[in-house]
Order: sequence, then C-alpha cells, then structure tokens
Amino acid sequence: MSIISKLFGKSPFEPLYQHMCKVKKCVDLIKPLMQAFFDEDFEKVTEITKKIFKAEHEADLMKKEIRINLPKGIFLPVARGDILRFLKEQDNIADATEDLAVLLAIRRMKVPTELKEELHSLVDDVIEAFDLTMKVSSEIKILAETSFGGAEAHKVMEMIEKIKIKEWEADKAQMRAAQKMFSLEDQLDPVSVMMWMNIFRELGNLANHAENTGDQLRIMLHE
Amino acid sequence: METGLIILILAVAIGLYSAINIGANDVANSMATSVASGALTIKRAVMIAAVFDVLGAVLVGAHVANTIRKGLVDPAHFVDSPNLFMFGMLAAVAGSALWVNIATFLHLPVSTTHAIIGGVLGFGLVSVGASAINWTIVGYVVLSWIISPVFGGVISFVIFNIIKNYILGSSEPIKKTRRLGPYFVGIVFFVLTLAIIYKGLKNLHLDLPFLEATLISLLVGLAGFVVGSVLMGRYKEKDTDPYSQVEQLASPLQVLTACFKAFSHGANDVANAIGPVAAIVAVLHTSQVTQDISIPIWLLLAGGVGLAVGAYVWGRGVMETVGEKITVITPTRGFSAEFGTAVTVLLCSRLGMPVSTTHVAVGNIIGVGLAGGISALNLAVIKKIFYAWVLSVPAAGGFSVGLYFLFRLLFS
Repeated sequence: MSIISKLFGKSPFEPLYQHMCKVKKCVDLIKPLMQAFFDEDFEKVTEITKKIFKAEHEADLMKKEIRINLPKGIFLPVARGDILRFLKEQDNIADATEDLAVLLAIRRMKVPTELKEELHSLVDDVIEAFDLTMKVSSEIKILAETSFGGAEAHKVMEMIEKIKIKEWEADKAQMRAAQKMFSLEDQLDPVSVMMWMNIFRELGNLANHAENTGDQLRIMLHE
Repeated sequence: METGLIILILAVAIGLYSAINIGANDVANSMATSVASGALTIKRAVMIAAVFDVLGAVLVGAHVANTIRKGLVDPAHFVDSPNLFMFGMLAAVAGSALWVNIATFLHLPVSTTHAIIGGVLGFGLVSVGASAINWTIVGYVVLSWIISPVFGGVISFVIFNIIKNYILGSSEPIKKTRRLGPYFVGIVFFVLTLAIIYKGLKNLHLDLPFLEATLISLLVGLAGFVVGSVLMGRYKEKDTDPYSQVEQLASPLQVLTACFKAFSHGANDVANAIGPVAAIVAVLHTSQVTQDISIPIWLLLAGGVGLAVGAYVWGRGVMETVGEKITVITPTRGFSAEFGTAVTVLLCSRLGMPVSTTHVAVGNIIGVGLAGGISALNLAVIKKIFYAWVLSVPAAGGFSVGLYFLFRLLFS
C-alpha cells in the first residue's frame, strides 16, 4: 500500500554484473575446450560444449529477467536503451563462445603442430581482452553509486582503453594465425581451411564483443 | 451544556483515533528511506518518529491546525448556531477517519491531509453553502499540494547534485565528505531552530522577533557545524572501498534529517487529527464561534502523543513491509531526499498549509532520481497519487456530509 515502496523499481545494475558473471562461466570453459581440441579428445570437446550450452542458456534467462524489470515507464540514471544495448553486448560474448564451441564440436579435426603456438597466442589474447571487460563490468555497481560520473568514471574509461589495446592485439594474433594456417595450406584439405577460418573469425568476434561491451559502457559515462 | 460535552468527548476520541492512525501509517512512509538505507533500525526509527512527532506537533503544530479550524470554513457564519459548527467539525474528523480506514482497506494510497480538507469543505458546503467557504485559502491549499512536492523535489535535486559533483565525483571522496558534512549539520540546526523560535513559541509565551530569532538560530547552526566537524574529524579512513565509507559517514547525517522529517511531520499532520477538535474546544470554551483563542497546548500534546503511540505500536509492522521492498537507497540519497522533505513540510507548516508528507517525500525521491541518484524509479506512481487526492477530497467530503446530517438529527 505504501507509495514510497512502489516508487522504487528493481535496480538493473547488480543483475547486469550477475549476467556478466554467467558469461564468464562460458568464457572460462574456452581454455579447457581448446586443450581438449588440441589433444583431439573429441568426447571431451563435446562434453565441454554441452556445459557451454547450459551456461549460455542461463545467461539468456538472466538477460530476459533484466529486460522484464526494465519496462518503458521506468526512470534510470542512464538511458534505458544504453543499458539494454550493454546487456546485449555482454550476451553476445556468451553467444560467440557458444558458436566457437559448436565449430569445434561439429567436425573431428587434426591440429597441425606448427599452428599450435599461434592458436594459443590468439586464445590467450582473446581471453585477456575478455578478462579486462569483466573487470569493467564489475565496476558497474560503483558507477551507479557515483552516478556514472567523476573520478570513478575516469578510472573506468582508462580500463576501457586497455580493452581496446588488447582487442587490437587479438586482431593481430588472428592475422598471424591465419597467415600460419595458409603457409601450411598444402597439407590441409579445403574443408579444414574453411573450418580454420571460421574458428579464427569466431575467436576474433569474441574479442570484438568484449570491446563493444566496453564501448557501450563508455556511452553511459559522463565527465 | 450536556450536548457540548458529549460532542467534545466524541471529538477528542475520534481525533485521537485519527492521530494514532496517522502515526501508524505515515511513520512507515516518512521513515522508510532511513530504514532502507540501514541508517536506522526499525526500532530506532519508530522511537525517533515518536519523540520528534510530539515535539513538532507541540512546537509548530498550531499553524496548520488553525487553517483547518477556522481558515477553510469561516466560523463567523455560525454565530447564531454554534452547535451546527460543532456537529460539522465532528462530522469532518469522523468522516475523514472513516474514509481513510476504508481507503486503507481497499489498498488506496490516500493522505489524511486530503481527507480532512474534504471533510471540512463537505460540511461547510451543506450547512451554509458555498459562501461559507474561504475559497482563496482553499485555492492556496490546493496550490500547496501541487507546489510542495515540486519544491521539495527541486531542493533534493540540488542537494544530491552537490553531493554527486563535490563528493562522489571527487578523487578523494572521504575527505570531501568530512569537509561538506558539517555544513549540512549546521543548516539543519539553523532551519529547525528558526522554525521553532520565530513566532513559533506563542504557546510557551516566547515570541521572538525576526532578527533575534535569526541570530539565535545562526548561533545554534554554528554550534551544529562545530559538533559536526569534531565528530567527522574523528573518523579514521580505512583501506576499503571509499564510496561505502562515504555512505557510512553520511549515515548519521541521514539520522539527523530523519529526526527533522519526523518533527516536520508532527508539525503538519497533527492538525489533521486535532484541527476540528480545536474548533469544537474553542466553541465550548467561549460559547461562541468567533472568539479567537489559541489552540490549547494540551490538545497539541494529545495529538502528538496519539501520533507517537500509533507510530510506536503499529508503525513497526507497517515499516517492516515497506523496508523490505525498498532495496536501492543509500544514506547519501536518503539524506538528500529527507532534507528536502523536512524543509518543505516545515515551511508549509509555518505558512499554515496542510500538505501530505508522503507526497512531498515522493517528490523528493523523484528529485534525487532526476539527479541520477536512484537506480530505478517507477514514475507510474505519480498518476496514482493524483487519483488518490482527486478521489479523497470528495469521498471524505461525502462521508462528512452524511455524518453531519446524522449528528444534527441525533443531537437536536
């Protein structure tokens, strides 16, 4: 009956962070997934892929829940559209992880020994880019406390710059991996070449979405 | 005067019942933000509400009570029929109490302020007619209902912006809190003292002119500043998250504004319960309606105690349900909102304007929200408030009219 309690809606900021934690659950499975893939342990690849499916689905449910709690009439300290796009970008990371897992699980592939180093380096860069984004997302509650401005916003802006640098490094690693793969093209069948290109692209996508998540948060900040 | 005595007993009883009701329901609304932020436990909030409501009622409560007693319906129209005036005032307080009870039962967010105004206007219209009503004052009252939440909202908007830019946005927020905090303490003390002592203590036969009152208030404000500086100076910075430390420092400030708010609430809302009773007492005291006597302090005290009892005995339960629902407010936000509410309601009280503390509080929270302080605000509530007061005035007026005819039939 109290008007005062009805006046307060559900804050989206803690749930946004919780959603990102769920996304991290997907991304954390990439390393073991890649390891199983390198070891050509196809059973394990399928098993980890299932786990990623489950975590991605859970992230989806959380995304839905956050959207339900942000009806049109609600007034927020930042634009509702920005929050929804930020959520979408976080979710895209989980989607990209899932797509990558699918690529690794649909075809039994041999990993050329010469390619392993480049692949490791690419995966590392992508995951490092994600970890930086995770750090940025975990600042969102403090950003809400400081109303998305001031010294805290500056700190987060600097963190977002770091994601950009890492994403650029991931791009270079992606190119190096592709170059390496084509240097071995004589030993590879055309289908494998196609698969490798897709795998590289999906890893690159993941880093792109990590960067976009940061950019979308950047839009909410003001000096 | 047999009839008069019965009416007085009835009026006091209904007035007390009404005061208890207001205390039980409003305390949850006015203390909810303090409890939600963790600045006060429910028990402490209820105790503060009880004590400061009584103080506000006794020290500043007479202004609004006078508006309800003689401002809206001119007693001069009842010179020849003082009994009708008493029936009417009894009907007004009983009708509004009845309506508020029904509305509460129906889960409608109504304000006792709107109900009592409806009740007084209702009997005025049927007993004498539209000419009995002082429409200018009615106009001011309605205007104050619109202006007070907006005015309060602007104050809270500005205060939260100051906190946001000066403290939360700074790279050393704790240091800034310690610097700014004492000013807030000083201002609260200054405003409170000025409201009490400037033309406010007629009941205690202490009526200070403006200049003296301002000087004394300034001194009290300065004392508040010094005490605030000493207390905040004692705080030792920790290595943890600076913003949670800012909130920790703001917590006592919010307790201070919670006291201030309870005081303002008592000053304004006691009138809803005892205004009509005061009118009846005045008639009985002098056997005529026009004599201008001040509201007896025992009546203000009784109303204040009624508020306190309601707050203490039933406020707890209501508060628990409200406090559970609010999850996203911190002391810096609570302070900004409550300070605006307290100043606005107190100002309206001194001007004799009966306003709804709850509606002003809503305006203040929206003000903080517009300044970027609230994580999610459900603005659809504004519509509900509007309906509630559009409905309340005629509904309570209707009950008052019915009871007026009933009392006239019973007693004469």
